[in-house]
Amino acid sequence: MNHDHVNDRLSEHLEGDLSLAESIRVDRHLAQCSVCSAELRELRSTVALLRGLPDPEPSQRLRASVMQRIEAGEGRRPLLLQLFGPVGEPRFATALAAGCAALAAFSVFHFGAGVFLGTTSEPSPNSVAMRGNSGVVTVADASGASQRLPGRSASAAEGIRAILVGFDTAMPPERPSAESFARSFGFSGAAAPSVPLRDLDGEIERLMDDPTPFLERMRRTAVSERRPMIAPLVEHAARRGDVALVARTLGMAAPPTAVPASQR
Amino acid sequence: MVSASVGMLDSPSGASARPKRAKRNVDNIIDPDLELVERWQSGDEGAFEDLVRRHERRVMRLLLRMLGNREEAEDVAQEAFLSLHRHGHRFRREARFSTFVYRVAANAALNRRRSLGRNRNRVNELTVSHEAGFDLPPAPRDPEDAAAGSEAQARVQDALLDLAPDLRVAVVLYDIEGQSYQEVARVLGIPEGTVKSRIHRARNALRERLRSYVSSGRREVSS
Repeated sequence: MNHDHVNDRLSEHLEGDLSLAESIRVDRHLAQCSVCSAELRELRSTVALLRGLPDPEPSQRLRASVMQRIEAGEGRRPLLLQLFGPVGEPRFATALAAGCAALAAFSVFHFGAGVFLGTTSEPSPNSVAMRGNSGVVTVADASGASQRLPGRSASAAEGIRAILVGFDTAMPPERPSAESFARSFGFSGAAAPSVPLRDLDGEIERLMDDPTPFLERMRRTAVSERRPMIAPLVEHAARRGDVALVARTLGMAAPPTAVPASQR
Repeated sequence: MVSASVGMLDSPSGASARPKRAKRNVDNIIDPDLELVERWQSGDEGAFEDLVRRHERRVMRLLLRMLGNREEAEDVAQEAFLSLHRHGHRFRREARFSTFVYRVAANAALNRRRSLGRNRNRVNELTVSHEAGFDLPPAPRDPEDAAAGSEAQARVQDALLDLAPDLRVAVVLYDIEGQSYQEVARVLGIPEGTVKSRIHRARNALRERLRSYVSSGRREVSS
């Protein structure tokens, strides 16, 4: 062992964290090397100095001040976080995912896939495969009026209601996997459209980096104007047919598996 | 052995003794804060006050060594506990509550340093770091020892403040707070190997900075 090897291990040697064999090798070197053994002594003294620093006594007012400030309301979570959970955490992702998915399902079932593709024609084979599910749930639309929406996911209904209407609904705690997300709403990564589309990658990237401004913007926006803010994300996913992108955008766990054409 | 160190670390009375290092896997240890946490999460604010009482000493110790100034450390401690109150619902019992507390406090300290900016940090280090060693001077045998001890403490605190924050927080958590590598890794959200490396680099940097003390035979800060 040379100086560098030993020096790299002195800290762990001091703590007794080296293996027996390695410790013996270090000890042998230390016995013959005055430089390294001096370094070990200095290191031991350094640690002793650190551990000898006095222990501060918290002031009497610390706890009292904290509790006073909590009583005054400073310890409350912001409303947005109360409803969604911390941005970037599962509840947020769940809410946004559910909201987007439900909006997509809502729009497809009420207006047809053309609303996403910028056309009123029937969906082509290349269009995004989205389908509702057997259950019926109720959501509120952009104006706040309730609608009956095909779809089996109650979380989707809650999600879209929270996003579009007023953040007044607690989100379900469970985080859907990307796969279940895809299966629930019939998205298929295999159906990427070839239509040239407006590029929203930048928006997606910004949202991935920091969703806070997006949520803040929505929070400050009139209820009636919220849907257009959500729609581009859904539109982007729909036009790309790229559920994996949405999944990543929303912080989902893993890319979804494509829904086979036979199951659409 | 394990239970003794855990008991000290999590003593409800906030015992003044420096916590002993917990060299063990923390996964299987019952969290002594759990009952209070559950009461607090059920809406009992008194339980939160008990949690503050239990953890205020370790939070102050970490922040004082991170920031070097008692007044600033108390300000940040208040913010850390308020943050803890706001985000307590995020505690999912995957680690001990004390680890969660350390994480919140460490983040508060690192964020404070970033928000103050490099220049102001340096001014603070030069002008106020000596305060850190004087708030609770050790009981020396004689006045000469007292002066030497206080001077050494101030030098150690200065040397700590000269470290990069990521090295400083690692060495403070390990050497001063007595956390294990595993616990430091959990607090900082980094691999254990990175923790070991940072502690090694921090100790070497401190050794260089404190050479006049550590090579002169003056080995202890206090008697």
